[in-house]
Amino acid sequence: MADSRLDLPQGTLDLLILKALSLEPMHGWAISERIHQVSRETLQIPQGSLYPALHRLERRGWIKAEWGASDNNRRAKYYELTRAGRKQLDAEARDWERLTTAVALVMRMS
Amino acid sequence: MLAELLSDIRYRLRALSSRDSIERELDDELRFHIERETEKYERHGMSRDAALRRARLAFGGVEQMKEASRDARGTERLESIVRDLRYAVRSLESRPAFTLTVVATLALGIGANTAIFTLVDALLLRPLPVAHPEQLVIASDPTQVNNNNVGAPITDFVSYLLYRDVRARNTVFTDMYANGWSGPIDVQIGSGAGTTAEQPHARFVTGNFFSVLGVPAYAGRTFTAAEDETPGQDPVAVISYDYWQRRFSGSRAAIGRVMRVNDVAVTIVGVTPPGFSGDIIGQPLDFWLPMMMDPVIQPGMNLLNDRSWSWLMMMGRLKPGVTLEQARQNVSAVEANAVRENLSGAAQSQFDDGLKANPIQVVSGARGFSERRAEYAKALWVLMAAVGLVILVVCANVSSLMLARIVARRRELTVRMTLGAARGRLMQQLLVEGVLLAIVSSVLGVFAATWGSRVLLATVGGSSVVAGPVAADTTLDLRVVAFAGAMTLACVLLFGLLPALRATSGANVDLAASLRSQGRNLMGAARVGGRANIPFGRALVAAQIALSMLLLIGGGLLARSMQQLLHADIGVDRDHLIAVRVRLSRSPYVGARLAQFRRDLANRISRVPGVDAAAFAGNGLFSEGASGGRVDVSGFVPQADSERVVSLDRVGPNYFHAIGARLLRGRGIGMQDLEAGPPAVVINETMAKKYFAGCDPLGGTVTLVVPAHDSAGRTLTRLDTLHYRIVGVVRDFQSRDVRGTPRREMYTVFDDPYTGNSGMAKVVAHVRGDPSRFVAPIRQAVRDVAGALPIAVDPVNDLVRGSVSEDVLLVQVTIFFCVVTLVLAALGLYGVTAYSTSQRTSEFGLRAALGAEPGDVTRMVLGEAVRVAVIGVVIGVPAGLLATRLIRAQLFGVGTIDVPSLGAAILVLLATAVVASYVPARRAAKVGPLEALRLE
Repeated sequence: MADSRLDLPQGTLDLLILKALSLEPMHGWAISERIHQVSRETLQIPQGSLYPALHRLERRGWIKAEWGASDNNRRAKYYELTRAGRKQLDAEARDWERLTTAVALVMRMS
Repeated sequence: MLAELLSDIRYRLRALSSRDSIERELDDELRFHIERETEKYERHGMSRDAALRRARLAFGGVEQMKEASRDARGTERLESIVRDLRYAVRSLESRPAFTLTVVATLALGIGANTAIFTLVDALLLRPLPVAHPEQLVIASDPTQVNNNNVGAPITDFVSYLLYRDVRARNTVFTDMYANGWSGPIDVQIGSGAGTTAEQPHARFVTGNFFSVLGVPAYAGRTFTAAEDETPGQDPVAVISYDYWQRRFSGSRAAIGRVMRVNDVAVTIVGVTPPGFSGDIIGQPLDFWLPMMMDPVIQPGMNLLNDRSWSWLMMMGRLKPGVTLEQARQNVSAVEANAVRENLSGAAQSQFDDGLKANPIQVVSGARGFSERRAEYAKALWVLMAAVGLVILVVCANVSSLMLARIVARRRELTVRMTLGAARGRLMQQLLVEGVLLAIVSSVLGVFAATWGSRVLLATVGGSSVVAGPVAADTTLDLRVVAFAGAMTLACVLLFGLLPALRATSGANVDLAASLRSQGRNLMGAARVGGRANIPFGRALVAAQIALSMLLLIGGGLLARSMQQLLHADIGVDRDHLIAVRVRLSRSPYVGARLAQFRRDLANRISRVPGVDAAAFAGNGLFSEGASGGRVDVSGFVPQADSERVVSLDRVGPNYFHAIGARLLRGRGIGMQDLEAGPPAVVINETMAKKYFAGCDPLGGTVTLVVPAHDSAGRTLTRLDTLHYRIVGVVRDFQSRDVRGTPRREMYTVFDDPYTGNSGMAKVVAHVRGDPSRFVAPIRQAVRDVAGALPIAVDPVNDLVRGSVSEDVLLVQVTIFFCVVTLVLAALGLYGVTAYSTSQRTSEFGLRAALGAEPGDVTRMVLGEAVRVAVIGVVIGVPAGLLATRLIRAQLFGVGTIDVPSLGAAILVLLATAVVASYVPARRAAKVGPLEALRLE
């Protein structure tokens, strides 16, 4: 199972987290699981970089955190996209589109 | 971008303030994550333990993640600094001796430096508190603020008519004002029961005084142009803020009140702003009177119409675009021409000769006038340089202590580096400690400086007897504090950083060796104890002691010089003389009545029990006032006009006997000269040598040319020629200035109705015993004759002391700083010795075990300390002797190599060294072998 996992390219972790949070507030573990599932188990966020990334995003004001009760009534820290974060997400998504389109174009040339 | 930045800052602040709760939150968060992972694996069928292990593995290193999270938070740097601060505070608290020594040293150094700079700034540097002081130009000699002169017109200070001419004709000033001394005046405020009488400081100024300076009224108004026109018409005064507060409690009702100035009713019309007390530094004024009021307030002196009365200082404001040099040329030319117009013949050529020797002074007026500034300026600067050295000493001191600390912590640093501490991190910690010390000391230093400045100025103010206190604005100059603090910080960092760099550099991290060296303390003790554990510590302390030596030598010389000044032989019996002055300016005593008054005064005083003799004189001893003239002496052909100048004094019978001056030939002035016969003159030794070179002066004639006086004592414009016969030669004595070389002086009787232009009757009394005992009875005797006239009675020695007040000032200030430097040197030596002995505890224990007596150990440590001190002395003495050349001008009666003061300085320094190292030496002696072992 480990072999079919791809390493995340640099800088895409932030984008993925923001996107995940754009649907609903989640705690850190849930974010990791969601991305893993939605990517058909291709993407596995390295655990060691998840939380530093979350704190970094929090620092820049794109997500904000609140302690709440999880589904089994345990205390968990929930992250939520802020309005600035939503704007950032749109900007980064656009950039990602442009990048991947460009790369695909280059790859298609023969 | 901005929003991001704001949120970033807010986040960091929150992270800093609630660090602990954030850490706990992180823990909870991570724990929650691992739990969910564990559950996930459990659901897939693993056992709890296996799932837990798997989850943890997948997660990676928790601690490293925490670290990464913390990094991501972005507050790591700040947090570490805060942590370092707390650690630094704790570690400084745990070493009170070190901390106190360093803080005291730095504070004292910063305080001393700031205090002396404040003094120098207040007295020498600060510009006048007026608008655009750099545009002001003085067209007089700025030191002659309280002088006046009757005779040929001079340009050091000018007559009123000359001022008017220069003001009208110059092309370089937008306007110019003049101010002159009011002479002693009496003021009465209020009437009946509430009267206060006093003698404040006031000056006469032209109406444009305040407008030229650009000083607005704080309350009321200043003078108008109209008040400058008609003599006697506008009896108004503007008072200073301080006087307003002192005399009128700052009440607005003061404006409009009437003061009686010399019995003339004067209305107060305004108050100047706080901080302005005139244009004369060191002489704060209480109020200003319009020039036109002079004839009414000082009647009989004709100061406004007489070109031979010079008494005013002039100051002008430059027109835009005009330079000082242009002003100098224009004003010199205009003034010289204005004087020449009113002279003729010989007087004119005399004036031109005088100008060549003494050109008209036109200098910057930004720093106002000052009578004494030039005299002590150089000495003050030298002192400031010396005190600047003190700051260097201070830095050296602190550096050696910090070096000691770092070397002592070498093992700790090595261990930490081996365990993985980053070098930068360690440096940060050491830096934080250094900065903390510097900041605390700077703050304390500022307080010390404030206190010190006040003490200094109180000393300075209290030192002069006659001339009055030297008041100056002493608000602390932040520039200086900042400078001193920055310099100290730089030194602290430099000397703290460099060895720290060395100690933590890779090459030096040899853990095994350092551990080994500590473990072998007992064995290696002998080797360790010999060489100082503190690399430059001893050298720095020696340098410090050398610098202290320098200051001590200077201080000692100045002190000896002052002693000479106060006790030197000035040719009279100064320890038994009292000078009496009675002010006559508004009295009925003129002409023959004045002559009688003088005789009565001298007679009455000589009848006081204890008085041996009393005699009157025109200028007297150290009583202000001087006269001079040009003479032609029989048988002498002068080569230049300057050879004809002599000083002169009118004296009564028995004068020389009364003051204790020695007659070398012939006789003194006696009763017979008062009656009739050819006018007699007694000349002094210097004059005899000059004009008679070896021949006998007795019988020769001296022809004197002086301004004539009328029967009321007023000066006339014509000159009189008087012929005198020399009847005696007296040994030189000083009557005005202790320092100066004796001048040519001659003494004749009064040719009544000459009153002398100081308007005073002066008598010198010779007493048996301590003069201070006779002041009161003599004062009473004078009252009997003089009635209500203002009287001053002082022992002559007090007056002499007043005349050298600037020397006294310098000595007092220097001694103040010598004490400070000594304390600093003691602190430095103590610090280094204490540290050194604390490192050598095992060595002392070893010595004790081998049979050394406590006394031996004490002596050994003391000996080492004294050796360092001796090295300092050996370096310091020649350096000090060289440096004292700078103050040679201030010295009187002592050469630069003065054995007693040098010996005293050396002794004091060595004694200080012993005292400073005594406590650590004793502590070293108390170390027993058991303690040494326990350290292992």
